[in-house]
Amino acid sequence: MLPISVFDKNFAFKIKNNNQNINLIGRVKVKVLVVTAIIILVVLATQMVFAASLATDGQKISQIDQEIEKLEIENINLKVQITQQSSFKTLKEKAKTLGFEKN
Amino acid sequence: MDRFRIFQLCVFLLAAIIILRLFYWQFVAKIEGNFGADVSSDTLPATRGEIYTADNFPIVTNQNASLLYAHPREIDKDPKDLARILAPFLISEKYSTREARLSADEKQQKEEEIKTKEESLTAKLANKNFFWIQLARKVPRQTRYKIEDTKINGLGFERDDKRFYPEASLAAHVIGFVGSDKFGEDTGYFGLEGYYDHRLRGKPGKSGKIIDPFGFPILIGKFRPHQPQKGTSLHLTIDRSIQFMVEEKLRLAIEKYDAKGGTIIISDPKNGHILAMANSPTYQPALYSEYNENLYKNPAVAETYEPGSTFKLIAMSAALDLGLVDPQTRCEDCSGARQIGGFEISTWNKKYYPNSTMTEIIQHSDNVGMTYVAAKLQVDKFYDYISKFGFGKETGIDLQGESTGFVRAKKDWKPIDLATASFGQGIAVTPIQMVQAVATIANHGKLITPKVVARIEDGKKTEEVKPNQIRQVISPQAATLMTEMMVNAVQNGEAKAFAPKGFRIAGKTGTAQIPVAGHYDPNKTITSFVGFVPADDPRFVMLVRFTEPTSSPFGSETAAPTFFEVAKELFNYFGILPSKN
Repeated sequence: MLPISVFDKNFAFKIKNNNQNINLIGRVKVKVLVVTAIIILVVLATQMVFAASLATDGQKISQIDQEIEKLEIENINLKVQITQQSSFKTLKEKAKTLGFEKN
Repeated sequence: MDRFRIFQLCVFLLAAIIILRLFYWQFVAKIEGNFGADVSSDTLPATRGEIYTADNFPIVTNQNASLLYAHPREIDKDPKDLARILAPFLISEKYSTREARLSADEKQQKEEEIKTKEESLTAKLANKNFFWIQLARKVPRQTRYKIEDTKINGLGFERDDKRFYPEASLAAHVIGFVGSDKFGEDTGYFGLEGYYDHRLRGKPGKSGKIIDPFGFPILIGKFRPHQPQKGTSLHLTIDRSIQFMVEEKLRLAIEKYDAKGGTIIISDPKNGHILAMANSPTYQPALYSEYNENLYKNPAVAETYEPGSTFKLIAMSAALDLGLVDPQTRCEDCSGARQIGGFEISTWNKKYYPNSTMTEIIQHSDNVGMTYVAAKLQVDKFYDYISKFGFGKETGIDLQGESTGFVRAKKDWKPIDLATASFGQGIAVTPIQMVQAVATIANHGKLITPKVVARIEDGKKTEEVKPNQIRQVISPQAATLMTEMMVNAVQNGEAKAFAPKGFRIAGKTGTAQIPVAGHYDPNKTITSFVGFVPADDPRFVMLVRFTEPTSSPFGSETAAPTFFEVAKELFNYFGILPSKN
């Protein structure tokens, strides 16, 4: 059984057998329970925040990967255009169009 | 019931519900589909390495292209209609020039190809049993944009890069091409693409990451993508300017002499670097499938031929090296045709030169004189030199598809074989073997393996490509004597009218008849000229070879003038000045 149950039995017993509504031990246990609950809640919240953050980061990474690939393709295309424009084949055609002749 | 009991019960109930639900999802429901986190093991293709000429120009690079696929079940158009839309985009790229440039025949071919493509696409798209079907590979970027503009449902693209050749067919036989193997993987065939395929292709990577139901990576656990490793890049010894000029000269010469084909190889004799290697007819590596498969082989390394008179250089070098003759040794038996083993050996023009010197024998390309040299050498010694010069085995050039040529086994040599081999008949060589052998004479008798790649770079380290072997074949003195005899052959031989004045060119013509069904066809010849310039400190060795020229069957009237034409261009390019004397 969970500690809550233990706490619950003791607490009930003390209510019956003690004239005072709250004793020192009971106060301490309640405080422990509250602190533990708060810690658990904080940990859970932190976990959720991190999990959400990881999920968002995954999405960001995916976007960055796509951006990298897009830039890579753009680079490839630019390189292709540069090589095509500077090839002898193109230069020869341009020279011919412009009327250059070999002596 | 007090508050605590109620609270306790609620907690228990909630816990039980959650546990039961988890149990259901884990063991009962077994949900199918991509709803859980999964390890994506997609292969990340490696980029193929580039190929650069000596001036650092990427003669082969990669361009963005796509694989076009379809989900037949998602297509809402009639397969026939869809095929009609797609077919014009997916035919051969050779029709991608402007419509106006296509001839009437080409236009008709284009229409026929579109029709064939339509039929094959219709068959593929009509089959609804497939979830995914590949429609085309290596679709160019512009074509992809055009297809995307049609906004047809059920079509998709994947990255499928392809090779790009800025200079089109330049050095096609040296480069080779990239096709697909039986698994659809890019594979290099012929030339450098074939020889260095394992290094050019790189290593594919794996995405290896956990992805969520939306396909995004989860950055915990096994988020360790293995990046692909790009293939190594090749830096060639090929000089783009020389290659371009040589291909142009070869094309014009083939038109002029109406030859079936031709080859020109230029190399640096000091290090074995191939500066240019041109063949005609050739093909475009980007459209390799449009050409006859016979064109894929590089004739400069794969085609064998009888070298004819150019082989006299080998026999004479051997005799000089052994001291059996010297340039002034006179032939005592050169006054007429000779009978050897029942065969008559005569000169090509039936002219005879009694008591001619060894220098004159080379100058007149005298077959009878060469049989005198062969008789001095005998089979054992001649065979050893043929082998030492690298004939009958691969040179070790870094190109796929090299042939060994043919040299008859030593035990099978008869007197007539010894005689005919001395003037280059009954033996088959490759053009690159001939270049290697003459480069050996140019390089003071030292043989160096020819190479096309100077260095290999993988982004981190650079590897210099060194020759497989360097060995002394003949003495430097013998090489010098041979060189002088070759210079004399150019200055006073049959091709002297074409030789540029003022330059010391060492060279030798060759004319070989083509053996057909056991005899030589008198009308079909292979003409060649091989030499080096400047003779005293060679900057280049060059071989020019034509197959079946019809304007003239002689090397002195076809290959030699072409050699000198190319050499004149190289004098300007290298800054070679005429000698003073």
